[in-house]
Amino acid sequence: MPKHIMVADDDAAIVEVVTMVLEDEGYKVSSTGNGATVRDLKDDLPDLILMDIWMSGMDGSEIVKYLKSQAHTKKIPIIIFSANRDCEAIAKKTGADGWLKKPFDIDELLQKIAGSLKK
Amino acid sequence: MTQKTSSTSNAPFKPSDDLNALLEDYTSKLEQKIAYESQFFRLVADSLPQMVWTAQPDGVIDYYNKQWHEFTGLNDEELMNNHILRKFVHPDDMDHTLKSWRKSIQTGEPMEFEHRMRNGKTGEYVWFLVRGVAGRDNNGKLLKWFGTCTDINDHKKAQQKKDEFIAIASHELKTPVTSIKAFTQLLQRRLEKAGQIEFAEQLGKMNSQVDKLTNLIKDLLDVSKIESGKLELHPEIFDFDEFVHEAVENLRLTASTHKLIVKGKTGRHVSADRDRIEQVLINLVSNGIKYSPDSKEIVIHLRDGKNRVELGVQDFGVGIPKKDQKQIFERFYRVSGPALETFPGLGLGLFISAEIINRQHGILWVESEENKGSTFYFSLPATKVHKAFDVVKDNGKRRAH
Repeated sequence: MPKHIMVADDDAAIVEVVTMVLEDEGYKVSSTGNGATVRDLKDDLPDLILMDIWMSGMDGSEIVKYLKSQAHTKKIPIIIFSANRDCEAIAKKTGADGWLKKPFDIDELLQKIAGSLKK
Repeated sequence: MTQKTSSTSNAPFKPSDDLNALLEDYTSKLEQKIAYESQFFRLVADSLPQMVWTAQPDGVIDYYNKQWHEFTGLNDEELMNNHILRKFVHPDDMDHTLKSWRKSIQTGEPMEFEHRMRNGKTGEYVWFLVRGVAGRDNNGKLLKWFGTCTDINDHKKAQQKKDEFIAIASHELKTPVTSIKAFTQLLQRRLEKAGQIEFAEQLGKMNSQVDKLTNLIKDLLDVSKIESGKLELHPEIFDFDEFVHEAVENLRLTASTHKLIVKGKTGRHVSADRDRIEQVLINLVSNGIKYSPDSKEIVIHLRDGKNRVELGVQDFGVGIPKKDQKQIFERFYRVSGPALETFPGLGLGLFISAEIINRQHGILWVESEENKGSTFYFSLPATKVHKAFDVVKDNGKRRAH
């Protein structure tokens, strides 16, 4: 069974390219541009969530905190990405499992995902 | 005038009367002069667009011009009976206002600072530039403080708008750059897998250009943060030599034209923002490479200063003329080459580096000779590490610092 990764970003081009990169690596990918979809995850839970911290209309930090507080989602690794230089500090504050500064290298993205899935 | 007194005169000698009359006359003229000058001063003060004040040597304000009444909505008596600073200055600006005020009152040095004051009529806060100078007599004794508050609200608002714009623009620029970079790397991987190595290499070049663009965007964002005082630092304690060797190792991956050599050691730890210090090191090494196109090496010197670590990045390139050496740390300043050609870049790197080093109690400086090369140094305070962690491996031996 391929691992399932959810990609959440309000920029369609980023969602598209990250999806292609992950599919090339054999991952199953679902995606959304909407923060609420991530927050309200119930069925078909992913093995990992990759989400932008600044999605229109939603505070990504709050979504991470919420997911980490819910019994059914708290064990799902979350990697946040952001153009914000203080991405690492945000990850530590919210309890996210990893972080990636935009723009990122594909190799770095894949390493972080593989690392988080192994844990 | 009163009559002359003389020892030969027959008139009774009344020196006190004459002296009193002289004194009265003099006092009256002086009072007239003072009244005139005071009236003249008020006229001038009221005609100025600024809010003008004067204060006694101990800092107690004893005069406000007409503009104060208009701004605060208070009359002269109310102004005198209120603590203007506490009543009108923005709470967030109170600290530095009081500090600057007290410092000048104590030292007699001119004061200059910015703060927000509340308009008594509209309730809105307005930015002011406050300046004050000490008026002294011929012996240098401080008699009075004269000061002005100039409305700089429009200027401040425009500056804030500009900073916000740059911050948003940088963020918005990074979004397409992120997908361009990811698509480039995706294509590169796919072409490599398909054996199309030449095309893959071209995409590798495209990727490094995207990196250059990313760095320019980062610099713009950093400058806007510095200008608005929002450059955040996250200090941590780390082994300085280890850090330098790691950072240089990473730099070697991209520096294909020059050999990077590390000489010496500090044997010390520092407490600083590791990422930001790495940014400074990258900037200095990249500059060294950029300004020494005809040489093949860059030397990174490590030195143990007194309770400080010192790092120097030496290149053997065009050097910097003496007259330019101070300006290179200014924004947008760029050095021209021997044939006056301009080297690429926005001229922000050293300005940002100097700010990062200064904010962490360090110093950034340069020693340079034209056509021989430059060495850029920075020093940072060393940190004492707790004994339990104070043992590091050094050539297989363990030693305590």
